[in-house]
Amino acid sequence: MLLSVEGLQVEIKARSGTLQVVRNVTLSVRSGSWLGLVGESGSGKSILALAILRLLPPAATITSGSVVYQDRNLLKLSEAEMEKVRGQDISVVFQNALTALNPLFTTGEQVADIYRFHQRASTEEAREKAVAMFGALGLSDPESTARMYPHQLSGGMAQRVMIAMALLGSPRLLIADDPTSTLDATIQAQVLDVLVDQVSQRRMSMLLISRDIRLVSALCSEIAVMRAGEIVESGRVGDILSGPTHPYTMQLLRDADLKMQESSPGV
Amino acid sequence: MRATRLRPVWYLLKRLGAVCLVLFGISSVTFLVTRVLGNPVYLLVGHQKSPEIISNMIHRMGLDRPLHEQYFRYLWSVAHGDLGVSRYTFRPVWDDIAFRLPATLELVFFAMTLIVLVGIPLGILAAWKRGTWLDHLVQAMSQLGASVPNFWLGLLLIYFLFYIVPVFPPPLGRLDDPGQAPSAVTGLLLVDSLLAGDLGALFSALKHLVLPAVTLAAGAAPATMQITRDSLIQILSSDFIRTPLAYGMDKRRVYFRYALKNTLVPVTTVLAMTMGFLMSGTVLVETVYSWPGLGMYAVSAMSHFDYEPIIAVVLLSAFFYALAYLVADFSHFVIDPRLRVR
Amino acid sequence: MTISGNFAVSAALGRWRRLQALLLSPPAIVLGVLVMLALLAPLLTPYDPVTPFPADRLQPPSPRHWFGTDPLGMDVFSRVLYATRVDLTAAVASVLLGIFVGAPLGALAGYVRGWLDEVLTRCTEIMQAFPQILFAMAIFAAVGSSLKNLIFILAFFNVPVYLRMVRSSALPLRESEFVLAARCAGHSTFSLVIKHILPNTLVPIFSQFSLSIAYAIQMIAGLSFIGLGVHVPQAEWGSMINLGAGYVIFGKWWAAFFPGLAAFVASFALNGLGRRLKELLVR
Repeated sequence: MLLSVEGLQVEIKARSGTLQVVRNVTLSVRSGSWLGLVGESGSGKSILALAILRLLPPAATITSGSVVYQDRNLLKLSEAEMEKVRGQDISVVFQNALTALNPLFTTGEQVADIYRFHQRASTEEAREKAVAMFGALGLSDPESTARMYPHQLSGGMAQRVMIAMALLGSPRLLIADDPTSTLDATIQAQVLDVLVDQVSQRRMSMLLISRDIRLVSALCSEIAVMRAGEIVESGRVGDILSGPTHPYTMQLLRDADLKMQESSPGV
Repeated sequence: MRATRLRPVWYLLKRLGAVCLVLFGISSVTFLVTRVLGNPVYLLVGHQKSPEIISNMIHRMGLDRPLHEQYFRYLWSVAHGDLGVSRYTFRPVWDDIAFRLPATLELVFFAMTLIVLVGIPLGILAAWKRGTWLDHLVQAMSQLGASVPNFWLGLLLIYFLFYIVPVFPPPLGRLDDPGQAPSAVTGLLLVDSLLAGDLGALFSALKHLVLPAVTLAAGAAPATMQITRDSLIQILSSDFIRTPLAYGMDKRRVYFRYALKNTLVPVTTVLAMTMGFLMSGTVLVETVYSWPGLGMYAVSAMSHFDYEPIIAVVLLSAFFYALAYLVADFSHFVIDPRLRVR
Repeated sequence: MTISGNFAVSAALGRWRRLQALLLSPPAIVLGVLVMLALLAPLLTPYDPVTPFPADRLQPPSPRHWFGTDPLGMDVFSRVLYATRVDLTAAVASVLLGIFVGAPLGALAGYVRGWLDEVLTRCTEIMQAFPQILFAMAIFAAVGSSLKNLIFILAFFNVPVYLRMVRSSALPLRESEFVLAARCAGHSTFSLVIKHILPNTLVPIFSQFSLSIAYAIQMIAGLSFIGLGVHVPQAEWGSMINLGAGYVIFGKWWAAFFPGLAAFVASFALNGLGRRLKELLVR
């Protein structure tokens, strides 16, 4: 088991009191496999992703549970040790790439910085590596893209830049938090293709978070359904689709028009 | 998406145009208010004087001309640097101002330096160490400072640091002895005494500058600290700061390499705003310390109902204020690439 | 039920409790004391605040004169109490006036948009660009200095603040359902603005109100300090500080100290109250 989350609880302190946003969540990702996490907005999926990497905002705290990555409980690591995990063991791709990039620096600078930080390369090497990554991710004219500022990019280009940054450290596990929902429908497929391509080439594991159960069922081998902070159902995709046990899962499947019959041909 | 690069010169011109518009607006409003709302003649002469004297004065002051004619004459003279003649000192206002401007400039710049060296770093520190005792201390200081009437603070400083413990000289001017003054090149004592190599005068000038500058800075610092802190906190919690952290970069490097540059934008705006606070503040601070600058000039003009100097001082400070904003705008243009797109 | 649903329920209960905490907080208590002192001034002061006793000039604080006497021989304690009335009333009056003018204009600007909005916005920009004390001085030189004029000038400075505040609250309301419904029902623009838009923009005004009064107190004190507004011998904090200022270098601190202390305490309490109100209402 690559990543094993057990009984994780996260609460957020608001003006009116504290709120449990992640309740007793248990899920796991096997080495080399992809787990899909499905739920609506507000179900706590993104908080869960941030909690795993210990990137929570100051108002949120992890109150109990464990996050075990390769036999180490990440919650017990020091900040310095955690910094080593981020980017090099576990990486994340955020939902909104355009706001996730610093408007005052070029994309090339930002990506090269990450590379130099992981690898101790020279400025020139890092820049070349960044440009090479951009090319590999399907950005046309990677040289000039590297010289652009984030506001000059389209959503799809920005997301590819993010993917580049995420993969630079050669992580084993990628957490993809709804990476395409802010993009145009036509671009979504392209970016998704690139992501899937890279992750499989590198034989990485992935935790794919999404609102779209169809997407998740198509790409992942296992699935977990999240609602109001709790995992209501989880298991292999085939099992869940053919025989969902929780009413919420059934609702999701109905809304997505996706009910697999046991002996449905060609699926 | 391509960017059409906006040339810096064109941008600067646009902002300059906006500044001129604002100055135009201010001078117009000032004019309207003083000529329309009040009748300076009565204030000067009183209601008891005979009607002939009054109408004579009105004619001499040009107040019997039609309003729009007065307005154009006013604009014309301002545009040509003719700010009228003081009815009290009997000198052209422009000369009076040129004579007193260095004193105020020295005070304002010294205070601004204090704010930049102390106020802004404290704001940054408070944001970084958000929620800790340091943050609360800085915020408390800022809240306290914002409630203290800064001329009263000046008096307190005089009492404790001159009367009780004579660390600083009495608040009676810029130098121990007027004869000490170095030959006036710029009028700025610090500069002139350096140029003349007169260390005695330099030291004396510095000693006299400290308390007034601290008082002035203390009036503007709270807002500066608070806004710097708030801006930096907002930046620190933004998505683009989270990104390098998410890929393993340590906080220190992220803050120094990225966050500080992002903070430059709101900080330059804050500094321009501070300039405005400081200029308003000189009026009170100069009065407390008998500092011979524009503030005292305006106050004494006011007590003599001599309103040309006051209007001139209003225009001048509005000009400096606008200039400060222009500098801030231009630095934004340089720092933030998003502003370079048409 | 999603997470945001859970929030709403606990928010309502919390707000009431926090209001109670607010009324009992230190700033509120201090303000309450100040207001009481101001109201009860005639009962609490043994001396008439405007009668000079030349024989008793500049006496230090003593059991007879708790805050000492000023250069004209008047009892500082009595004057500070009476001055509380003047300063607080003037500050409140000027801010209220500013709100009465600025808020409807802001609501109008935010709802109607168009050229009116443009003009008003440019005007507020220009007004807020003024160096305030200097501009006040210019006006005083033209219209003469009196408390009434002081209140009007400060009201003028408050107008753009509330205009912008109400305008930004009013902007999103333009498209809201109840407004569209009222428009369909045939309400005129004027009544729409006054009866529907304005009441919904009032919440942020409350916290700003307290902060504005704190600032007004300082402006009043500052302007009176340089001789504008109130005339000697009427009791007012700023002019009292002016009276006593020249004697500080001789060690006679009390005449300038106590009125300033009063202004500071009042301003600090109002700022504290305003901050708490802001926290309470932002949500």
